[in-house]
Amino acid sequence: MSKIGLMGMLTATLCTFACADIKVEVPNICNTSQVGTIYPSYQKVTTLQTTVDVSQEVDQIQKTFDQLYIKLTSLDVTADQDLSWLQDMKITIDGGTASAPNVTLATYQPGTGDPGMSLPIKLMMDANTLFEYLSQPITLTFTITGSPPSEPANFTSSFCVDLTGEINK
Amino acid sequence: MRKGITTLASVALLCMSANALAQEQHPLRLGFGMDLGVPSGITLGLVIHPTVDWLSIQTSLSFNGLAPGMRLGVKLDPVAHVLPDSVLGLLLEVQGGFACYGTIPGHASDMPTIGYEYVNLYGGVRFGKVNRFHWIFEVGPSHVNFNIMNFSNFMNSQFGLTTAAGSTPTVNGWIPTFITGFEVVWP
Repeated sequence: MSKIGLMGMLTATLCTFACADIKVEVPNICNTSQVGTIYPSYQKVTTLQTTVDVSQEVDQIQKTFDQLYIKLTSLDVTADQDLSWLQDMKITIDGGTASAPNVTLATYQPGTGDPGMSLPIKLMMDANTLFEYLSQPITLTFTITGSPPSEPANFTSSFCVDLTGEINK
Repeated sequence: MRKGITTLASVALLCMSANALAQEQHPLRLGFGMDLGVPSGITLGLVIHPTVDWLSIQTSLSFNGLAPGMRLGVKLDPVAHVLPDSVLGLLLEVQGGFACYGTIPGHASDMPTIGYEYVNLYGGVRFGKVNRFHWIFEVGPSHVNFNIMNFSNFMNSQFGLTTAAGSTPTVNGWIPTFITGFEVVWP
């Protein structure tokens, strides 16, 4: 038997007793943040900004796992009143660095029916890129177009991801 | 000369095997064992040698510091088959067990509750006669499957994140583990 073959067998035998191969699955971790309030006195086009900082958690996750798989399961913008007055919404994400520039994250365009209090958002970014953005504090800017409502509308945004990590030591 | 030595050795081994076979049949032997290890924790169990000493079954109650559990093991001791009086043995064992859901005392609301199942595939050594007091040390890979409850409260208190209702994280895979402890078997 060659030396390489013998070393391979020894390594495999040692690994049987000493290697760890762990898979962690965490479904539906969600981050919710208050976006802001649209008041009746506002202009037809209004921007709201919110800062999200989960960079420490993301850093911890990245250090823990050798392989990481992220799947975005939902992205919602909700309000505390009916949003039929809202004509258009664009959400941009800005990491404030060259590797995480200001780009469009998601858009909303009304369909035929009344959206109710929750907007179906179309995501323009894949989950892995979003995860890279989240490794630093990000600023989400919501550009909202529509005749301001008669009552103040408080907006909340949330996104959920399925996280699967593997540790191979 | 070499052929003669080989023949003598073969005859000696045959005699030893015949002797072992003659000796090894016995009524059911019982004993108890206690060991400490990962992932089972501390265990106390009943040891059964069903008519032969080279095969034993152990059923144990365990405690991992958070919650009780149970473990069942089947162990082979090939050396005890060939040399019943040997004070040294090599062991092969398969164990399966579980730990009930448990949480850190005083942190039922803010820490997750963890329960798990496992299968241990062990190789090890025995010090002492197989049908008397003996000490064992076993190592090998374990397949573990952790289930985590009350995760939402933990994520919320620690990270300000939430999880969807009914979301139960799982951790599973292979890790290296061990046990060490003793067994006492009445001859």
